[in-house]
Amino acid sequence: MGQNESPFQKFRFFDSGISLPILADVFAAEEVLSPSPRSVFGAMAQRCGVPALGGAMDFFRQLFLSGDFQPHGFCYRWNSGLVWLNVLSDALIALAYFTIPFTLLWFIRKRRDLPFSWMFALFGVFIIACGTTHVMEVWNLWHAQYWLAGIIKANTALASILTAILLVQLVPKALALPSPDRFKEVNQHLVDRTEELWRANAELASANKALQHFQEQQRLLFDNIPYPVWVYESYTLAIKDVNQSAIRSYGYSREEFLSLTIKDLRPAEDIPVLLENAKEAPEGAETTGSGRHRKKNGALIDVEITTGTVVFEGRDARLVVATDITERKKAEAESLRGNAELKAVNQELEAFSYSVSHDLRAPLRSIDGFSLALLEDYEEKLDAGGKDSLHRVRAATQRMGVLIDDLLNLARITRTEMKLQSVDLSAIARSIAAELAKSQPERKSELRIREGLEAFADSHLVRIALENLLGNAWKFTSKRESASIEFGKTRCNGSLAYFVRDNGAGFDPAHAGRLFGAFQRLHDTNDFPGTGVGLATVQRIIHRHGGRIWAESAVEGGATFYFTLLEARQEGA
Amino acid sequence: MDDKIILLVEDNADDEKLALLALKKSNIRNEVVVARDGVEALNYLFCRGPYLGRDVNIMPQVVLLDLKLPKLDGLEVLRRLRADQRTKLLPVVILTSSNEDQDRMNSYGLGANSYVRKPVDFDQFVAASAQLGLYWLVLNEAPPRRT
Repeated sequence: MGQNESPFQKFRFFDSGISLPILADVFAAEEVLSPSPRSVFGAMAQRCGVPALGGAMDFFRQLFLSGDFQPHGFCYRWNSGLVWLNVLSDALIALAYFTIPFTLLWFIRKRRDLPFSWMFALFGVFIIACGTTHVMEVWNLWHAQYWLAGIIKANTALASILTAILLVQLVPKALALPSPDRFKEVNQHLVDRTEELWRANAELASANKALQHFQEQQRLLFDNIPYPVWVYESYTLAIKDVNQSAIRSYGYSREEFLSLTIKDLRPAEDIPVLLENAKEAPEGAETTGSGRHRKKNGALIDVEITTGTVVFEGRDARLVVATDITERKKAEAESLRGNAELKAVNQELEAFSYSVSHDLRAPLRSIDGFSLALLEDYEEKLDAGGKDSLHRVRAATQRMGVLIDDLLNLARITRTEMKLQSVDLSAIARSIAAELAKSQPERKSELRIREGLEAFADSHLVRIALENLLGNAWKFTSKRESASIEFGKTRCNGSLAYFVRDNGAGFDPAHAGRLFGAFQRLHDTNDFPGTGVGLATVQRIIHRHGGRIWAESAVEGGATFYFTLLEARQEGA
Repeated sequence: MDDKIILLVEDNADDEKLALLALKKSNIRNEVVVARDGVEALNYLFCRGPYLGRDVNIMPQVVLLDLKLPKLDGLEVLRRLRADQRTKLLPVVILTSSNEDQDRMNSYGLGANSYVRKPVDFDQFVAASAQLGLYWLVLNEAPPRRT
């Protein structure tokens, strides 16, 4: 086309006989007279004086007619090289253009998440239209249906313009879309975040596990407290938790316990006091009291109760530790009873001693006194045998007097009240040793007293004990040329013990068991006088001080008496 | 010193005889009045009952008082003597078998002037009696007599 003149002037419009200038007129007139969107073809039909419908039919018919146009190949002067170059190029372009929409379609179908997919569709339409124009190029080489080609081209133009406009509008929006790098970045961030979440989750799980473990541990501890423990709500007094010991001790199951209030554990008569106490229970402070609890089987037990305030499941509550003191109370009652019995026995002993003291000695005085009267008043009438008998009567009587006195002294040691204080044993021993030495100044003796020995004891009783021990040592060394007596302190059998050692007659260890019995003697009275009360007295004194006494000896090998007492430093303990 | 009377309060006949014997052996020749229970001792001292006509101004130089007595025991006798103005200052020597702490405590607590335990050995008893006589009848100055 596009030769020297304008196609509107050169070519006729199909075969309708309407010349192009006429069409131009129609356009112009339509523009001026009627801006309403009436069909160009309708206007043409009116202009040709045909009814509108029939005109449209004509129009379409003429659209597919070549009229008197030359096919496009004519323009190439049917140069076969040029024609085929164009044919092949247009065909390949068309082929390419027709496949692209399908690829696009396939792409949007696969990527349904893609934004602006309509734009792809529009591209598809636009490309198909372009493809079609190229098909028409090929067609026009042999068929001069330029109107059809023009209309198709116009459509393509329309689609292109539309796509171009919309694309321009789309670009800012498309730019706003995240780029793949950005996606990558975001994705990496997401991956990192996910990993972080995983880690946090793992940590949380581990913490959860630890918490669970801790809770289990707490529960285990709570359950294994060897005392019954429970928690009750301060306001309702309802038991909210209970440990295994309580379940075992009281006979209620856990469920039963949790349906009880602390009132249910009390005998009815104790409830008013309980309520009073519960009301007055000081906040936070730990309180200890005692009371009675009734077990499921009805048994009443005495309990010591320690309570403290806690918050349990968000409510004010009290934690209770109950200790069964039934046995202790029984033991205390027994101890009291025992004490009373002991007191009664002591009183009896005192009465007995009193009677012995007054009544037992009186006949002895008569026997002795009147024996002497006989000896004096009937001296001439008595022969030597009679006088000897009376002397024996008197000796035995006086010995019995001494025995009674010793017995009374022994009883007195049990009865007398002890006053414990720090006592200088060395000083006491020194004064006793001095008295002994003075009593028999003719005796050769060596008395060694360790300095600085102290004890927490009753000084009066300790003096009696030391008098007996040192007196014994003095007595049983009387047959030695030189007596050696020592008072000291040594470690013996793992504990510190005082000792009195002598080089005297000693005793047969086989009889050591009888040593401390009252009126038990290991020696003949003729060899060593005595009543056998001394060591019994000493033992009683040591026992009253919570100490021990024992002895080591060999016949004629001297003797060592060990004893323990409370240490002076234990004062006030 | 012969006019000085000794009041011996003793229920046991043997002890009474032995005490008198011991006093005699100690060369104490003073009059010894013997009361055999607490009531008799008080009757004598306060001139009551059988002793109604006795001169109340004549008081013993010393009272030898046993603790275990029938009717009224020695401590009760002592308590009544100390409660009465006439006998409040009268020298009283407890002469008894016992040396129990409680007896000594009570005796001194009620105002006994001395406490002597009767020894079993009669020789010792004689010696003790001699010392008692010497001390209370000779050495000791009695409290002033009321008029």
